[in-house]
Amino acid sequence: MNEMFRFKKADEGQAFYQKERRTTAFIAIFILILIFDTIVLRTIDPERLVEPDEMSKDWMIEVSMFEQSDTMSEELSTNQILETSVDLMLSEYEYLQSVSLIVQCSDEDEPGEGFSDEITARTDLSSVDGMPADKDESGSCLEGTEDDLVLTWTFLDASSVELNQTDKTQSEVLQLFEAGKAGTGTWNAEIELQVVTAGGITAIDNGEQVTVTWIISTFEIDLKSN
Amino acid sequence: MQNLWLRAVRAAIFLSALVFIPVVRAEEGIKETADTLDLIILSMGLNILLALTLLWFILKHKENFVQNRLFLAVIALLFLANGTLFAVESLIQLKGSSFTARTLVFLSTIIIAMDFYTAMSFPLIFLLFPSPIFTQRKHTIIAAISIAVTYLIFLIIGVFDIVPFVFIIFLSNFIMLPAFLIPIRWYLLYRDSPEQLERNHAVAAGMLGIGILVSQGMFSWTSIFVYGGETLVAGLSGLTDVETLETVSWTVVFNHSRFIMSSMFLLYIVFKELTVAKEFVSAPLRFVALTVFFIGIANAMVKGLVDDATLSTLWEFFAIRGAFGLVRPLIIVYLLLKFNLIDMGNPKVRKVARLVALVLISVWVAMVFEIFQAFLPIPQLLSAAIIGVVLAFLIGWEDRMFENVARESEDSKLYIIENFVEDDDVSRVITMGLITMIIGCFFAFVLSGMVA
Repeated sequence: MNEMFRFKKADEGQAFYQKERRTTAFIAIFILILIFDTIVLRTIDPERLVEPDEMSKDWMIEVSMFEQSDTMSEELSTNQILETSVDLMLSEYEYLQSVSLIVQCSDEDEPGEGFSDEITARTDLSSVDGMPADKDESGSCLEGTEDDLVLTWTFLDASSVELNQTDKTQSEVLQLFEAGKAGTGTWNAEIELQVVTAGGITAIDNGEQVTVTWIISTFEIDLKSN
Repeated sequence: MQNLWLRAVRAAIFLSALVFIPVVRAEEGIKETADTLDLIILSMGLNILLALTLLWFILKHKENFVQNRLFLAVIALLFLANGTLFAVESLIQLKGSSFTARTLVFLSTIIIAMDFYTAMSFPLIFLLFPSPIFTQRKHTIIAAISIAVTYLIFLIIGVFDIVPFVFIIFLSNFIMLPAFLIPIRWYLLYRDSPEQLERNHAVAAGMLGIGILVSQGMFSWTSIFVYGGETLVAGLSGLTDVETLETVSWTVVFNHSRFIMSSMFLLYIVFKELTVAKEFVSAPLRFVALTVFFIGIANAMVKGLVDDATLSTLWEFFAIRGAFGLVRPLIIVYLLLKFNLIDMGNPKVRKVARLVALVLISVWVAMVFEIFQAFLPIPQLLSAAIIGVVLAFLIGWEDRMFENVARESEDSKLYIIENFVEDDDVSRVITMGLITMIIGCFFAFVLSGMVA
């Protein structure tokens, strides 16, 4: 053994603990603190040591659905662009099911064939959390139809999660809804109208009333442990 | 001309500090604050870099003392295990959602296996530094093989669920506690010795003790007095006695004894460094001990007062995983330079050591600002500009710091035992360590195959 680390011999009438008094004192204090901690730990309720969400339990999940919409309407002339945006925020127990963008532009002043106007919706979702894909779609403003263009982004279908969960911690249950925590931020879109006229007769068909509606479907969950 | 490329690297880091970092961080946007993933990746890079550098030092420069090379080999394996752990952890965070349950079990078990590997290398490290405890080859080899075999036996017991995992931790404490006493005893014996050589051992043991045991609850030292160890044992599995479910189990109570020992060691170092005779003061050890001491107080305050989830998570990371991912490499590199564990007389070695020091500075600055950003979410552009300035300042200062730490002096000498093992034993220890590590990963694979 290394001579610098060797235990000193109990010579000259001195006991071992006197030669190694610092180490002895250190171990003695260590044992005292261990006894103190033992008394404290053995007398407290173990629940104090566990975060509420770390206990595995059976859970019943109650889901409440919500839908909010934001509508704007504007008369657009040919190639005119309507810019629209909506801010989406979620509270702690709120989750996003889907976001829809509905554009209506019923072409009621159409004099006949060849006068069907078109709309194009382009989104800019760069500042939306979870980076949902941008969409760029067109549709015809047909007379008598309600929704001429519908764009939908689905994040989490609440009905896809089993409402009775067994032997799971709270965080494990919440993890099942994690996909519904994306989608926050500002949703931007621009709607462009193209007036289609037969032979360029714009005096008859020179624009449309375009209505844009954002529909945000969210749900809240309430966890009840059995 | 010889140092031209080193200057080029310094210039590159300097430029990136001033130009690239601000641009990249500004790109992240103001909304994004700190993220533990960034810190995990930083820790991974740092640990793997150090492991590979140390292996290069050991295998390329065999003229170094064999006891130094053997110690560096074990430290390299420790960093390699830590680096693997962080690599797997970052992989899970980045791609976890696309992995199958089996893959996730495999990766998660690798994390546990590497964590346990790290813990089991502590006794070997303490047996070798500041000076080898065993002076005969036979005893050193027996100690190394015993530790490796114990690690594998514990893993087999854990994988096949022969006893609960918490019981394995209980058993491992019978090895850990005596091992922790080694640096403690070095420190207690010689900190105020009149002999400079003896004091050097105490300082080195104190520094190594903090570097290694910082992950063993040193940042939670307040818990052992304020809460009776309550927060130290929180989250441990097998918390309650199975038969009663109303009391904390004896296993858990005993398991946290190693946290008590490391916290007591820290408090004694703080006390001693503040009261030791002026001529015996070690400024770096005093600084490190006081820093860990105050982080312990900050840790108690964050746990008790902060409700913000992002900040709590980030702090939790720093106080637990950051302790061995980022704090340990810093202290170990200091020890390598201070006590000349690598041959600093060799210009090639010196050059690589300086590069490692530069990388260490860069990573640390990035990490500190990542945490700073969580406390005070200032615009990224502003924080990036501050990083640039601080990094530029530190890189300018690194030259002086490095020369100061790495110079040979009376307070950097340790007791050398000539030829206590053979030169080739170093390679054998590395091979044995790597094989043990691979077997640990293989057991993780076996366990993943048992998932239905």
